[in-house]
Amino acid sequence: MNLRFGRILATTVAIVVGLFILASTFVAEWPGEIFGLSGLINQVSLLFISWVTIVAAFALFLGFANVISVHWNRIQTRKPGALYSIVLLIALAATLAVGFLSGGPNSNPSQFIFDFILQPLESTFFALLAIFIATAAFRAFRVRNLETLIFVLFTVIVLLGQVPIGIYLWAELPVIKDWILNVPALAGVRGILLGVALGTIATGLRVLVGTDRPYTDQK
Amino acid sequence: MEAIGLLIAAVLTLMVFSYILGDNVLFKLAGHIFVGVAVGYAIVIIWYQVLAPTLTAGNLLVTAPALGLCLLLIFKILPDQGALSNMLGSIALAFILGVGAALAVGGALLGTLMPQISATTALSLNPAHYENGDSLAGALQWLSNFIMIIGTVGTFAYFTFAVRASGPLGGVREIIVRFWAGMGRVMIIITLGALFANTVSARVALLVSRLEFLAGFFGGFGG
Repeated sequence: MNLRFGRILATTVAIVVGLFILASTFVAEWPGEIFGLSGLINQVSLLFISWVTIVAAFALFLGFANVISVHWNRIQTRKPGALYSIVLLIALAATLAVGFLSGGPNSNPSQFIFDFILQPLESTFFALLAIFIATAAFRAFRVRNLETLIFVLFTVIVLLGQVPIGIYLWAELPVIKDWILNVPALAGVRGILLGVALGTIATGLRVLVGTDRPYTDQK
Repeated sequence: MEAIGLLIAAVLTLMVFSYILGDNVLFKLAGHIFVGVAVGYAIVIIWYQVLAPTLTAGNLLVTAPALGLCLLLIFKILPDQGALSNMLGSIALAFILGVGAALAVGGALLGTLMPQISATTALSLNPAHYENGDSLAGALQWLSNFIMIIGTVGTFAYFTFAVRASGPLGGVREIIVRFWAGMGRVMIIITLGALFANTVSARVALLVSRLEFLAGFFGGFGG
């Protein structure tokens, strides 16, 4: 088996599987039966999706193995930060032990880990960003031209419109904030979404017709 | 038990907030604890909510080929990759990407493109279609719809990446594209400003909630 055969085989798998799934998307939207094949296409597509769900979950296990491998190597070679790797592996092992021994993520010990370790850490990391965003904005928000003036103006209006002090400054501020979010900001988001959707379709179709083959190492 | 949990949460919160004073050991420890716990928790969830229910359901048509693909995927991460192992790994990856690409195309077309186009084309610029077409409210409605249409088309036109057209109509095309792209640029600036303000608000709300938690925790000790 040479490289060329492997490439053709992988490309064929991607195209056939992808076209089945794509066909099922349109079959679901179609009002009637298509040559008596609608049921078959749907069933095969669902089967493919259930396979991919398992494979994607398994891929996360491979990622988990990679995390362990990277940090284990760091400990063995005593690289800088080995102490942190030990802490990481202990935290990981403890969470796994609690999760599996207590019977899953809905058990009380697992909920304890989520409520008192994972959730506080996650929200504090995000909260910390508020301070850095504020300092970065203070440095960056120097009005140099009309565009930065527009940016700063709309940011300040939306910010003040969302806090109680905005109403005391000017009673109409929340109304203007709502209008900005519902009209010009929505128009911008809609335009961006249209561009993203077209880009996604173009990229997806390139994979489905075999022009792009990110699953092989060769072009 | 809850008191111990609150103490752990308070200590971890303070460890993260210690970064305000500069990068330090406590912050790095908190970061590594977070990664370790998050990975472990994700693995527990994946096992109990995805893999275990599927594998124990006893449906060989689902499990056998999927496990085969999982085995093939292992070949992709082998450090020493020959032509055969590379090919076997590529088949599993091609399967995932084929399904992913098709779902992305279908989702983008039916879930984003068509609904967004329908929502934009549903906007009317005819004042007769408004409830209060001849009043100030009607005029504002018309203005909002006009800005929505101009803004959506302009933002979309801003992402025009094309070769500069030649010929007699090339200049005209250039002027049209520049006009719409300029309009789109302003709309994108407004959008990013609004999104930035929303992000700041959300982060500040989280900051306040964490500070409230700390105040409540230490206040509880004081009381």
